[in-house]
Parts: sequence; structure tokens; C-alpha cells
Amino acid sequence: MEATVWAAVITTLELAGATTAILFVIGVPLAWWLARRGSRLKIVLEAVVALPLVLPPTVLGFYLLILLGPRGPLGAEWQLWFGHPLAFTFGGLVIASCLYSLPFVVQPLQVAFEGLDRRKLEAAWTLGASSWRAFWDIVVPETRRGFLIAAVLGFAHTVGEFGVVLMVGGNIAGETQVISITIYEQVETLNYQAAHTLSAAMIVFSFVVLVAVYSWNRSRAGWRR
Amino acid sequence: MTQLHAAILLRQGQFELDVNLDVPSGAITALLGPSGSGKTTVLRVLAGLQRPSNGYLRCADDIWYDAKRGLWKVPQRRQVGVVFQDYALFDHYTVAQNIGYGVPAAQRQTQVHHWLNRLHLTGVAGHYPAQLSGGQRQRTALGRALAIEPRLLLLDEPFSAVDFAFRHRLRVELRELVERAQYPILLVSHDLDEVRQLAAQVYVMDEGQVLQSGPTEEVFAQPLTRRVAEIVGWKNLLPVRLLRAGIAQGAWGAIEVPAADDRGGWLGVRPEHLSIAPQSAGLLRATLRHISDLGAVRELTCVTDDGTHLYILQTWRNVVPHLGEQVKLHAAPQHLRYWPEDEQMMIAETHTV
Repeated sequence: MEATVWAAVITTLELAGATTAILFVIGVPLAWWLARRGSRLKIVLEAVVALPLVLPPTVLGFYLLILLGPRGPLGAEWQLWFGHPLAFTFGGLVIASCLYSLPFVVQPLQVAFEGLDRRKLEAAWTLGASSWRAFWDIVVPETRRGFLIAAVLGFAHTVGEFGVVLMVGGNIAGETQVISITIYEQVETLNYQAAHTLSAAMIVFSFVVLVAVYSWNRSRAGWRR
Repeated sequence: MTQLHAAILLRQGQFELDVNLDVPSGAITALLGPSGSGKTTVLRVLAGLQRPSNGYLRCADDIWYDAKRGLWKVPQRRQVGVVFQDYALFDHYTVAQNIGYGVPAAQRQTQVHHWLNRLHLTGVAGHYPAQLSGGQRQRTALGRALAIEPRLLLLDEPFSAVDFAFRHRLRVELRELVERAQYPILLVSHDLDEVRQLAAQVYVMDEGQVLQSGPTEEVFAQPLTRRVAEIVGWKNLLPVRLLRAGIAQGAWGAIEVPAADDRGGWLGVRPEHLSIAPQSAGLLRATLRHISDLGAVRELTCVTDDGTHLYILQTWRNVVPHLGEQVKLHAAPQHLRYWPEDEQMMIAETHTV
């Protein structure tokens, strides 16, 4: 395969890895909060988290472009600090991917946290464990399947995105050109062989991911009876 | 000596909890009441898992809560052993790891070893909770609570998830285990047999209030109000319309009573103190409707002319009439209790008979 194709694969994996890592840092506390509260603010936040599921990627991409562009509030600030704009860079792509994949990380975590027997956490507290220790000792292992599903879905969904990437990242080889955009480009230039290889790989990858997620979900149900 | 003193006031929507407790060490004290009476909330407050609106908590010399001074100790700093209902064991830890969770690393090995032995869990030390029987799970939960050398032990319906056949044995084991405890033990239960078998002292709770407290035997034998009687198993409670010299009357019939009183009220007798009288004696007429086998004893259900149900507990030696037969019922005067209506103003709307 051509070097540009390999560069796209690597860019895609880097983007998905960075996005998943950042989303865990944001998503775990957010999901914990959403799972524990019943206020009106929770409903609003849940809706905001779910927005990327229903919006056309172009809508998200358009506003992100304005936000991240050299004249946008975030882009201007970024340019001031780092000397280059945020749009059409890898950094801008990561920010866009985080927003776009947010529900895929937050929702499985929230479901897992909501299913946790709160008394186990309380038992750990009465046994002297701090909130932090109880979270690591009890919550994380008890909800580990939720963590696993969140990681896999967050990663896979970032690998599969197209519209937002095209709007915010453009198509710069080695910087913002990801697999989905490469496929689009190969088709445009009538290079069907390369498009076939990449597309088939994407189908296999996505299928394996979904089989893994469903089997984890199944074994969780069986485990809990 | 009072080890635990608690004054708890807590408002939660419509529910109001107002409870005062004095719990000694060296014996089990029970909180008895129907579900929704606030027992578990009391336990949660004592463990530090729920903060009340007002009040005061002291265990030995340690003040856990003082609303006036704004003082509140978090659960981590109370050293309270809690056996939760359904146990809340850590599923991803072994029995030994569960028991050792709250013990400082330096003493963990000796403590875990000690409690595994003491609770007959050595053989399953490496098992996970999912692999245990109900009794083993309960003992693991108990071990986890005791291994921290608690200053207060809280048991929330500890036998509800155990097979009925094992309950009796496990209760005996529990009593032996905590008999010489240097800390107070509070048992939450709605099981009358459990409370009678385990607790030296009982607090009867209903709708967030303590209705009566005292030595278990005394509270069960001499309930102060009809509602307490109902909660502690006085299944035969009869509305009395008129009470005249030596005879109490109601729509259900009449029965001989020792005292004379012309006020209306309620008459109560425990099922084990009501019996079928010889043909000539007894004023209270009823029809035998049902016989249930309860193991060592059997329960007879009789119905009076106005449809009131009366229950009799008797041993198998007693001769039982045929179903549908008319019988006369009798209770020795010392076993009858009478509560005037005016004491019942607050709870008059609830009745079982």
C-alpha cells in the first residue's frame, strides 16, 4: 500500500487513542454525576451529551469550524498561545472527535454506574475506605464491563467518523487525513482497489468490535442473573 | 452502662423520623417494626451514611453527631461494623479479601485468619461470593464487619437471605458470637421469632416513632398500646363496644374479662393463650374455618358470627374439632389485655380484625 494510506491508518489510530483517553478523563466524572443525580440540570446535561447522536455531523463540524477557526474564540486563543490555528490540525481534530464521540463513552459508563449496588460503596466506606479508594477498589471492578464497552465504542466510533473530520480537519496527509477520508479520496480518483482494501478492513474491524461489545453485554447479564 | 446514645430527628418529604435510643453493650438490642417504619434509616444514620436534620449521637465517649455544634463524623471515622441486608459483599474479592478489606495491612493476616476460623470459613477462604451458600455469605458479611473490631455492630435483617431451615442454627451461632461483645449491637428486624430469640432489649417502631421499648419479654407480654400489640404478634385484637362487670362485648360476641370498665376499646390475646373451651364453658362462639401446620405447633383459624378472624396456636396433643364445627373459645383472664379507645386516637384507623 502507498505511504499515504499507511499514514492515514496511523493518524486514525492516534486520533482514536487520544480521543478515547481524553473522553475517559471527562466522561467518568460526568457519567458518575449523571448516574447519581436526579435534578433538572441532569436532564439538560443528558440531552447535551446525546446531541451528537442525532445531529448531522456537518452541523457539529460547521460550528466547530467557526469555534476553532482563527477568528473563533477558541481558535484565536490557541493561535495566540501556540502560533498556529487550531482548525485543520490534529489538535483541532481531537477536540472535534471528543465532542462527536462523547455519548459513546458517557452512556455505557452511566448505565454501569446506575446498575451498581450503592450499598457496596457504602460498605466500603464503613470499612474505612476513602471515597477515592472505594471508587478504585469497588466501583471500577464492579463496573469494569461498562468501562470496557465505553473504551471500545469510543475508539471505534472515532475510527468511523467522516463528516466532522472533513469539516474540521480537511484532508492533510500525515496530519488530518484519516481512513474514512482516504477511502473517499480513493473513490474520487477511481482507485477502487485501495478503496476496496480499506473498506473491507473497516467492515471487519467494526464487526469484530460489535461482536465483542455484544458478547460482553451478554456475559454481564448472565453473570448477574 | 449505656454505650450508644442516639437522638435522631430527620425529615424526608412526608416522612418524619423522631427516635431516641439507649443501647447497652454485651447484649443485642432490636429495632422491630413493619417495613417503612424507619428502622433502616436509623441504622444508616448510626453508620454515618445519612445525616439527620437534628439530634445527637454518642458512642462510648466519642461524639459522632451534634447538630448544635455542627459536628458530623463520616462513616470512615466511626468504626461501625455493618451487616447489610443481602450483605453487599464485594463480588470480585474472595471471602478472605472481603473479611480483610477494612483491616489495616499490618494486622490483616492475623485478623483474617482468626475470623475465617471462628466463622468456619477456612475451607472457602479463596472462594468468591457467587460460589457460596446463603449461610456462608452471611458469615462472610459478619466476618467483614467484625474484623474491623467495631465499636458498634449493626445488623440489618441479617437472616432474610438465608434459607429458612438454617435460620435457627445461624441465630444460635450469632448469639454465641456476640454474647460477650464489648460493644453495642443493634439488630433491625421485622421477624418476631428472630427478635425474641436474639434480643434482650427491643424498640418497637412505627411510622418513624418509637412506640415502646424495654426488655423483649416484657414488651411482648405487655404491649402498652393496641398498635404495639399488633406489631409484636398479638393477632387476636377485638374491638370492644361495651364492657360491663366481668364480660366484654363486641359485634364478634362476648368474652369473660377480669376488670370492669364501661369505656370502649380493644381487647387482645396472643394466639398461644386462646384455646378451645370445653362444651359448656366459654362465652365466645366461633366456627373453626382452617387449620395450618406450623411444624411444632398448629394454628387454628376461627371466625365469629360477624366475620372477625381469631387465631389459636396449640400443640399437637390437643384434640381438634372438625372444620366447620361450632366451638367456644376461652382465654385465662391474666392473658387478656385491654386498651381503652382514647389511647388509640392516633392509630384507630388501622385494624386487622
